[in-house]
Amino acid sequence: MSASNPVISASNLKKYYPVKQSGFFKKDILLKALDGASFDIEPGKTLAVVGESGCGKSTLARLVTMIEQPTSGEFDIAGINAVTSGKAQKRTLRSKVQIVFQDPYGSLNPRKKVGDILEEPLIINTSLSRSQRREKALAIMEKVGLTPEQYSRYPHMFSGGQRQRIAVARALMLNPALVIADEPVSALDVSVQAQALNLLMDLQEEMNLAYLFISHDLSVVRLISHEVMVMYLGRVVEQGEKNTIFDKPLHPYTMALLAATPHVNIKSRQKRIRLSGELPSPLNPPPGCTFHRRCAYMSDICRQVAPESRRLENRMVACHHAEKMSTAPSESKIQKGLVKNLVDKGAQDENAI
Amino acid sequence: MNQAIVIKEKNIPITENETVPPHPLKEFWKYFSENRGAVIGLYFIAGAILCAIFADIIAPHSPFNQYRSAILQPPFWMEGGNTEFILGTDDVGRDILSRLIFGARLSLFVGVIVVTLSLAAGIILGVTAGYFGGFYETVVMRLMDIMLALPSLLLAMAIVAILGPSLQNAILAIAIVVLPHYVRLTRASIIAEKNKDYVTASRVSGAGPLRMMFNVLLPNCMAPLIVQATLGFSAAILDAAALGFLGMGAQPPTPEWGAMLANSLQFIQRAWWVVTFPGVAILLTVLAFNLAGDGLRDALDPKMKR
Amino acid sequence: MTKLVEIKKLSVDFDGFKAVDDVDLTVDAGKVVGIVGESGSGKSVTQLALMGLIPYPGIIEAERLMFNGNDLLKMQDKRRRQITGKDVSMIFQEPMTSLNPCFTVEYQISEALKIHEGGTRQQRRDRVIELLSQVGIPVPEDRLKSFPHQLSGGMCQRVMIAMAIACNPSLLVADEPTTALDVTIQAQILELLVDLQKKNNMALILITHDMAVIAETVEDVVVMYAGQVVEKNSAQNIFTSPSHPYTHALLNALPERNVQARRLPTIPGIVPGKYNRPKGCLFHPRCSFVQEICKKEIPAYTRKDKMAVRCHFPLVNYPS
Repeated sequence: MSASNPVISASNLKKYYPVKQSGFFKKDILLKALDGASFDIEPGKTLAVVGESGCGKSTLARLVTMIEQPTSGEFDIAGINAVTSGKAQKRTLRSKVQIVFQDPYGSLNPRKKVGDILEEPLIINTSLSRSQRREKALAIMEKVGLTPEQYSRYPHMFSGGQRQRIAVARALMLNPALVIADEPVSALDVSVQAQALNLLMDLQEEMNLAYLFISHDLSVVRLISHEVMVMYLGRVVEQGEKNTIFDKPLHPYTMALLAATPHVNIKSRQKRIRLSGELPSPLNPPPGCTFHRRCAYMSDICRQVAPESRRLENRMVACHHAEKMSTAPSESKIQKGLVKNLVDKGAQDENAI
Repeated sequence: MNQAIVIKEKNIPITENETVPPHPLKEFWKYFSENRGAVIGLYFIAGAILCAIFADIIAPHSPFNQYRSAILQPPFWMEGGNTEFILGTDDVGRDILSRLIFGARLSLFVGVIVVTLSLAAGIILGVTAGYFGGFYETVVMRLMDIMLALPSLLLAMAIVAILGPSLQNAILAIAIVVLPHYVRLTRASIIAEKNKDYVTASRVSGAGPLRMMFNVLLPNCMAPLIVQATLGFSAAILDAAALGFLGMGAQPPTPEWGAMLANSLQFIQRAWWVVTFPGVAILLTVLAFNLAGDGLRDALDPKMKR
Repeated sequence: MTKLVEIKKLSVDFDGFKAVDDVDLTVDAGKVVGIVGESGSGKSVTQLALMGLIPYPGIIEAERLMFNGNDLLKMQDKRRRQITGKDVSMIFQEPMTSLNPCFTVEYQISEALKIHEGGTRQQRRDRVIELLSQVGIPVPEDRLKSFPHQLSGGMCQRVMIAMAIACNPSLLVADEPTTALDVTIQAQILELLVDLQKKNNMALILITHDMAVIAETVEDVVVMYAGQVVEKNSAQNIFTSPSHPYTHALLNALPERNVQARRLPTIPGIVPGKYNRPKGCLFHPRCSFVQEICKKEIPAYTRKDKMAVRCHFPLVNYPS
């Protein structure tokens, strides 16, 4: 698609977990945590993965960091296949992908000093001497806004925002090409959140990093991402350029998600689309389109056939009725329709859980 | 414009550096010293350790020397006693105080060896079981369950009976008997820690299993283990005394507290001091370790903190 | 309009650390008030002080602590519990942990009914079913015997709300009720809370760190910082023309207001903690309008019409 080579290019990644059923003769059932995700991320770009709990965001992170093997599908990191490559090659690939976690309190080893935390990846992956490692750690610390005195402090002496800086610094120690940010700012206060987001964006510019940015907060995603991938129950429902998706979503779930996000600005507020019903259990997803029980545009085909992802108006969308959305006259009309339809659908849905 | 903001932000001193929360050791001592019993226990243990180290200097007599002229002499404050034998003498005329002081050496030695052996083996088994899981874990843990199902003293006696009665074998037996406690504790804390994000972060950095187990995970599981080890000290001393009492531990004339008790049982009516003082020594030492262990738990276990 | 809650100069002291410092708060009957603040701003502790739930070693001091015409400061503990237990309810952030996992939904709701309302078993059961349908749980008869772990987070929060409104409280305190929930579920719960508030004519205090949730839900907003109320105003005014520099900076830092920018305006530094409380105005080390006086004197909490602000130099019509 583009001239520069993608840092990561994944095609049809799937991860199923067998889940034991209670009862002696029952067979294990498969939990489809991630059911087909394909994407490319170019250097210096951010792909945001958006969705509610159980949508497969974190599973995706575990696959891409090579903590777990995908059930099927492939992905390349810097042009090398990361699924089938050998042990030694995987090791080098691993240092190219690093991760920043949500919880700044759980993600740093409480028994180690900042310096040791930062140098651990170097000890494991390089043969640098002690002083070289120290030098490198200090350089990165400066980059993320920490002072050299903090090198020999323990994590518990830092506030949440600064811990997140340490976590970012650790991720950068091995000069990665791709950083996976798993809800990196959702545990931080608003004022600190802005600092952390700025840091991430500055570092991206400076080091030409690619981000896989996992978040449920659409306002953050709108700020930081270039591309957006919306997921629901392990499936990608809509995927494309940030502005394409935010300006004119074509999947009913994306629309609902956008409308459900509260806004401070009165003019950006939309009439709430009330999605009644809860998320279905991923263990027992509805047949056909997984969203159909909460969807206002549901028709017979949605109950039976899972929609394939297809290209429409510069994006990939997995909905049988996407064309209808795109030609729908005005947004307010859609929403009225949604609300009306949802009232009677809510009841059936919740029973089904 | 952008650049200017960047520079401005980096120059802002981060105020929290100036006032840092207290060092962990200081905080530990603060919590520990709040518990008066624990501090007293700690002092007693320190005293016992000094006694054990300098037994040769402190003890007024040799623990083996038999003073034929002073058999079953009472303590000095009683009629017939004198200050030469402060706590009196036993049935063959040995000075009880000296034997107790040398006995401290043995008891602490037993405690140290038992705890070291069982802690080391328990940590290795527990960490590997918790980290690898699966079939290996099942085998290890069921084995430990079986050991726990047998009465501990009975198991220790059985082991000693097989190996032959001696202090070394008693130590070995006790170490084996208390092993399951350490294994279970280590495994439980490893499993609790295993899914934390910092562990995953180390895995993403490519840390191997050895590093993961002993460098990343283990230091975070030490707090409950230290507490258990302190409490295990007293259990080991008690078990050693019990084995000694039953004649399966230290053999006479070794001045071991349990053995001293056992050998003088027949004099309990005539000369109470021969039996009482070793008993009191065991009681106080075990109590001191338990108190100190409690204090440690208060200070190390975040759940007990206010 | 009757004042349901009236707090004046409330301070809560934990071992020398002022978690709440000189807080004034009034809530009128049947109104919705939002308290917004970052972690450690004392927003939850204020409510706990009102309920008399401050744990040891906290010390409460106040000039006035009134609830529904009762002076809570002079009251005996037992009497106080009766009043606050029946007329004030609270729901918390973690719906999964605020329900007791050992008991069924019916048992937990009827427990509260038994203490405060009595009635026969059948009456209570009918009331539980009624409550569950009020909070939007479909086919409540089937849910009576469910245990909390069998319900999703959103469902648990609904059960919590049912429990909270069981005794028709005149005040419901919702402490971060939606923070642990997904966006679409959050919208449902907020809507439910406001609906119930209107229907039962109870006052609602919504505590959250999320400006946007506050903006869409409440009428009056109270902004807290480091244990103090820094600003109080109507939701309309506070988001268009904030008076306190902190509110102003906080709003500016929202990603939502900077969609096309590549950089967010930030508030430098961090919230002061136990060991680094500044002198003078608590916000001065981070304030971009700081003057000499701010470093020395604590600004007074001054009222003007319906708004109030704690600042030496409140912003007037400053564009946000």
